[in-house]
Amino acid sequence: MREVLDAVYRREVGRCTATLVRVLGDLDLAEDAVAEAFAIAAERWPVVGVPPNPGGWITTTARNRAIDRLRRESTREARHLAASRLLADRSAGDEEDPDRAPDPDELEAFVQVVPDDQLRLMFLCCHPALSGDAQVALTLRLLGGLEVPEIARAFLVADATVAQRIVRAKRKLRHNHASCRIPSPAELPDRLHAVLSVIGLIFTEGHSATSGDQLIRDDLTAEGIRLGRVVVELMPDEAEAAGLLALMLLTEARRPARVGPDGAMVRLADQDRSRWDVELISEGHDLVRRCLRRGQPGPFQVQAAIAAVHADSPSYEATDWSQIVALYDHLAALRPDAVVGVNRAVAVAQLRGPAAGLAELEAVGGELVGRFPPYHAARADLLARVGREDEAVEAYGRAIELTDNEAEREFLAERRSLVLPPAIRGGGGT
Amino acid sequence: MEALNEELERAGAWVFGAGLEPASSATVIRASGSVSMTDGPYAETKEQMGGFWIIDVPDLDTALDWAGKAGAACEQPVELRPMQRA
Repeated sequence: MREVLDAVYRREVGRCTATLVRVLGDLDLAEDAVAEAFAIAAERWPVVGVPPNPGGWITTTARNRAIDRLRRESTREARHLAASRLLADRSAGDEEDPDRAPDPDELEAFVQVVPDDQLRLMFLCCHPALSGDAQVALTLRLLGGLEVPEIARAFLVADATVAQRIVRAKRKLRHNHASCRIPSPAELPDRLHAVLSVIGLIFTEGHSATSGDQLIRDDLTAEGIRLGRVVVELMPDEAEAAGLLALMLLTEARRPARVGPDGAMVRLADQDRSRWDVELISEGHDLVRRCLRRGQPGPFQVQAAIAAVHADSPSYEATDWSQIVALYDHLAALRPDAVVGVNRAVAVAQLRGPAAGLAELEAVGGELVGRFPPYHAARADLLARVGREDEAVEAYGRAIELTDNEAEREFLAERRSLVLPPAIRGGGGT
Repeated sequence: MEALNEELERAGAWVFGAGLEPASSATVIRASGSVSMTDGPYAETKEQMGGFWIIDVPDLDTALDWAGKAGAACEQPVELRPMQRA
């Protein structure tokens, strides 16, 4: 029963909360009502069994509890306001037992009108008036149903910091009368980009944790993919949304091969490709093909296309590097930043040799690049390959210094130990 | 600026607005026990407010939309603040 409840919670909590936000018009009320409904489910389901539509049951129970609570607690004015909202949604009479089991017909109607609720709430949580940290925390809390300590652990900040971020964000949205709605077509590209960035960030943090001793955090990658699916399902015409989902699926497909039995990181070049998840790859491929056909290219789609080329290659050596470099050129035109430049330089090294790659890498400008660990790791590898071992050892040292993730640090130290300084190689005599 | 103010009025969002004289003309009043006055703006404030609009709109997004237009019209950053409910 515990697992059933957990599964229902993961799958339904975002949708239920989103619907209750629409019905109640208040984030905190909605959150509390949904939490209460899950507590009731934990008591009753073991006795009466799991209802056929668990999400609908939770939503209706949460709404009934909220009505009950408003009746008991609110002032006349607040009650009046809340009642007018609820009445619009409530089909049956006024004097119901708030605890009564929802009637199936009513459930059907109630659940059917809500497909956009989650999307509306996502746009609200990722509102550009909120800071990036607050957007991520609020999205994980309200749409992912993660508890504050879980979010804090995922981003290695104190519980109080996350709690504070969420409280402030909610207060800001409330005081500013932010409305929970789908942005108009004119604002949509920017607003959708904010939503996709938050989902991408959640996935990326799970895929390559910036700190901590584990390389991958499954809960965050799964949540990123789940949210990505929701957006694609509800906005099927947005090519970048499909691009992001494809990118996440194709990246997730490599997960079984990315970590060795001892928890150490395995490079793309050394991964056992037979362990890649073929189903995820084929789903990702389909999405890439479909969104590229629409002819509205964007950064997520191009990154997904790059991941698709890798997924297609039988081995690292047999990879179509010229296509990868061409795609990176395309990506650099869409998003000219240092991260893209570093990745492009690595692909150039595969296509035209380490010296050419090194030249491209060192041409990547910007003050941020010096603080980006993969820049130093890539540079170290290329320096070693052109025979500049001393500089390679130094660059590995810099990369290790900048990395907070334990598995990545061990991997880099291991690579560094393979670079023999000339003094040892040459026997030390001069 | 004129055009923006007219647009605000046409949209029914206009409540009040004014430009302010330079910060050098400011006087700071502190009331802690007794009231004291000092010449000049707050020394701590790096950015000085040059003017303001009070607008009445239904939600944050509408307010942001106007704030964006206001920023373009005055060629200065604009801070958006909700008013406390009476």
